[in-house]
Amino acid sequence: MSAKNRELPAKESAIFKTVLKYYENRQYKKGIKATDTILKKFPNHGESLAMKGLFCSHLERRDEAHELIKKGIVCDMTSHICWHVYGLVHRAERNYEEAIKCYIRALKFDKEIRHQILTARPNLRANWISLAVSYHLLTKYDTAERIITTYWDSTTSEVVGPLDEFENSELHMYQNMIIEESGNFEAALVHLEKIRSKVIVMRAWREAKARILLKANQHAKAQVEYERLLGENPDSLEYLEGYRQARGLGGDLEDRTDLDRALRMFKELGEKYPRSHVIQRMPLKFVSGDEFKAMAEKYLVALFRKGVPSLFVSLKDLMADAEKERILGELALGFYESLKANGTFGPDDKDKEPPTAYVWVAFFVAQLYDRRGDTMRALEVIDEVIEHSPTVVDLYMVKARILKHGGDLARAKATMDFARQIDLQDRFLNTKSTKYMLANNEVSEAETTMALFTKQEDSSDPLAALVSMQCMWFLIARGEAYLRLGNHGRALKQFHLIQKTFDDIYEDQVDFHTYSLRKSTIRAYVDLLRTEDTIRAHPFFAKAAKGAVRAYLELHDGPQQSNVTIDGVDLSTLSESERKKALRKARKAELKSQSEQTTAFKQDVSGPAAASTGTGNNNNNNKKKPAPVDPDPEGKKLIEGVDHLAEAVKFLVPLQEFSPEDIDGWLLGAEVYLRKKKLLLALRSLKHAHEHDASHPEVHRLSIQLLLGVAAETARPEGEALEAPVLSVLKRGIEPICGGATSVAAAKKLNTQFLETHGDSMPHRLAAAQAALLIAPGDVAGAAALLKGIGKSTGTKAFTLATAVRVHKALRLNFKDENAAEMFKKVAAAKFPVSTYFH
Amino acid sequence: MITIRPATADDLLSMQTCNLMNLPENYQMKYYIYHAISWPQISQVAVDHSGRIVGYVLAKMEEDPTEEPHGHITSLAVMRNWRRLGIAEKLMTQAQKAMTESFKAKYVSLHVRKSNRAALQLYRDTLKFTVTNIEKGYYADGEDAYAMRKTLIE
Repeated sequence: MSAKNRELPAKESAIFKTVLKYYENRQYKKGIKATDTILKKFPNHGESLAMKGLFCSHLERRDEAHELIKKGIVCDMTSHICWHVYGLVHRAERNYEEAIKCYIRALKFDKEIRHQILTARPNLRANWISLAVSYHLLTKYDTAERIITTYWDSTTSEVVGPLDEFENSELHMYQNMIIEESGNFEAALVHLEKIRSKVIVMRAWREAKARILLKANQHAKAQVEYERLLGENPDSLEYLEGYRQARGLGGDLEDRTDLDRALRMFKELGEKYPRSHVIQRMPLKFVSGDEFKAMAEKYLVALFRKGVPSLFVSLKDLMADAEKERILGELALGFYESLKANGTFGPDDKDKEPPTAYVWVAFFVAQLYDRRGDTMRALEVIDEVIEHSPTVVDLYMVKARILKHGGDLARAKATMDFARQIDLQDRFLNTKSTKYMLANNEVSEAETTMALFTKQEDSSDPLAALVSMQCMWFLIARGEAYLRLGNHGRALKQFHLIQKTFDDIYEDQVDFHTYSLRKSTIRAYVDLLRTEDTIRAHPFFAKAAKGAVRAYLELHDGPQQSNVTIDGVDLSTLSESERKKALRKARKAELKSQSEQTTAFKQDVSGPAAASTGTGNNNNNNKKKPAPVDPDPEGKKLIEGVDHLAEAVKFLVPLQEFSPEDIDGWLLGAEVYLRKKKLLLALRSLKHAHEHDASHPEVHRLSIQLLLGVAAETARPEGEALEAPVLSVLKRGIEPICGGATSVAAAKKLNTQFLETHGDSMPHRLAAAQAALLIAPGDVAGAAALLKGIGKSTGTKAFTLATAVRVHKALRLNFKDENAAEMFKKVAAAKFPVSTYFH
Repeated sequence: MITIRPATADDLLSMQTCNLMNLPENYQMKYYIYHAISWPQISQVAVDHSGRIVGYVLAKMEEDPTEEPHGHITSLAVMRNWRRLGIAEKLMTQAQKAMTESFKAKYVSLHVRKSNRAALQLYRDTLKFTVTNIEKGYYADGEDAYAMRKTLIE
């Protein structure tokens, strides 16, 4: 059967035409009747079969639809209608990959289609634009631009209505964007002048002009444009940076004359725009020493008088510089002492400051001590100021943070919750409090608190709204809490929900393909396409992916002891008994509460505009569907009867692809592939990690592990070992990471060298001891000996709370040395005086 | 270092996060995209030195052909600890400029919860909006809203 059977006699051919009409008019039942009439006589008429299938799919008869369409295609493989129908059905089912394949097939059998579309309806702007966008995205700038020019030429006679004015303006600007991206700046500038009278979005036009002038090295002209732009928005970093560059004062300003000129420039701009924060703040980046001190003093005093809670946090970039950190500290402490003694910022000030000045300075000083790791003094200062001003909510928030950093998560939570209760209307406080509850592994308390802000009219499950509103921070934090509690099923449910949310957001773009072409807002559309291409580079995705990989690794390693100790991930300060207690408590609370259907979700969204919570803003038409009951609240399906490592890889691959700058992705990759015995892939991950940070402690431990793996392969008799070429690639590959040889002796030597170089750092010493255990698994005492005096006489650097917890756990579980663990605990207890883990 | 600039597609997820952290009225990503594609360059973000979004205004145009063109503030939030820097005002100033320039907005409107005195104060005293109406049961939980507006072009 094939195309020969496509032609129908006149009568049936007429019926087929009505079939297409029925589809356009959404008369699906009538459509089925009509196709049946044709199929009665011609049961193998492919296009009729396909159309019947299409009707079925609209009537929710999914299986039948697929069967009919497949049969239709078999009967008429070269019909573009059959393939097009199949594409439509896949698309409706959100199976975009298959849909695209079908559409491509359809196009193949109807080659003229694109040309036809354009010649048949030359005025349909969307078609021209979509063709131009295609070429633009393929970086065929000339063709893309020519298409738009041709479109303009063909529509000169058109009457321009008020709505068209904006759309034309957008299209002109899009054309300019193409020219700019082609790198032909001169042409882009000429084009800009040509379209000026037709462009409505003058700000965007001027931005383009300034930017392109700068790229074309026409600095004098660029300066004029940026000066004007700063007048429009003096708070724009982009404008300020553009202006600086145009004046030849860009970059780090290391040359003294340049710096002086720049400082004069900032001064002038500051006088002109006294309310601009960027202009006041930027010079602090470039000056140093006494000059910095004088400027910083003025800057700080102004903001202390104003009482800006974010001041400390907003200086973090400056504090990355040790000298600046010291000066800022000295200034703040000086103010603090002076305000307490005289009520002024400095000894020479005559007028007394209002008491709020002391509050905000003390608030700052507490954060300063916290940053220095001096928990006790930080607490002392914050308690003192809380006593002074017990109604200032921000103070409790900082106190909570100090306690969190100090390792007392329970008190941190209690303090943050106290802040929340001062102002129950403020969702930000609710958010913070919930976060602290989750950090303290109190999942059901967190859910109850969070639900105070998510109650829908008559929804039975307030937490379902969090999932449908894509509240990712909550899902991730909850997943991490479950992971610390050892509830892998529930943890993985959260991480899978994040994956699903990203899938949904990725698919959101589909609805905007035609919409934006109609609106002509192509610059925004292209911006969206580019964002969507790398949407999984967002930290939320990376966090969830790491959580999922860790969960699967723990499941693979079994309940005993996982050796996964990626920096900054294992912040759990729970002891084993505490963990079990928390788990029991959580289960109990869960039975009581009714939040069983937490994770089920799928809001039916019909159009782009209908995707809000149904609160105001003309979106009150939301459907109030009760959330369906989750058949698997424990996430058993995610952990039972599945290949844990294979599942881990599914999260690992996008993590590595979209967050290649994140060393954790590569370290986790090495962990997964070493367990899978995929040595080449482990090598690949490790090489990336090594490039990021060659002296990273985990890179070292994993390198030793890989080296031992390769040595073991080499030692195996021929026939059982890896094939020679693979082995030789491995050996060559690990050479730059591990040095030359691949033997146990070489591993020992490498470990000794590592210890000599980095042994004064705690995480490095721990990694070396763990590596020693890998090299000689029998010699636990020998490996443990490397940790003798850790934190006291050796390995005292990078002594963080998280590392200390890891060391303590390793001493007990890996090195089986309770005495050493007890001794270390005393050292750590002194260093972290409020940590509940060590007290 | 706080900078104010028009929102781009890259900002939308962070705007959503900021919204979820601060306000009870939330929207799916699609709704943010809808704003960005329909009325590009009128929504604004406030960004700190590390690139983190600490405030935003999500704005749209009401396109009822029977009314004169006007803008509407769908949502505005500034992180609690980033207040007292005039960020909300700066965000609104930029959004309003863009509305008048690109869409010839005559005025801009918004809704505020009747109980949200801090927001009411901000809109009325700082941003010079006036209450035009009380809309009964506007919010999902049944609370009334103040409908407010500010004239942009006389």
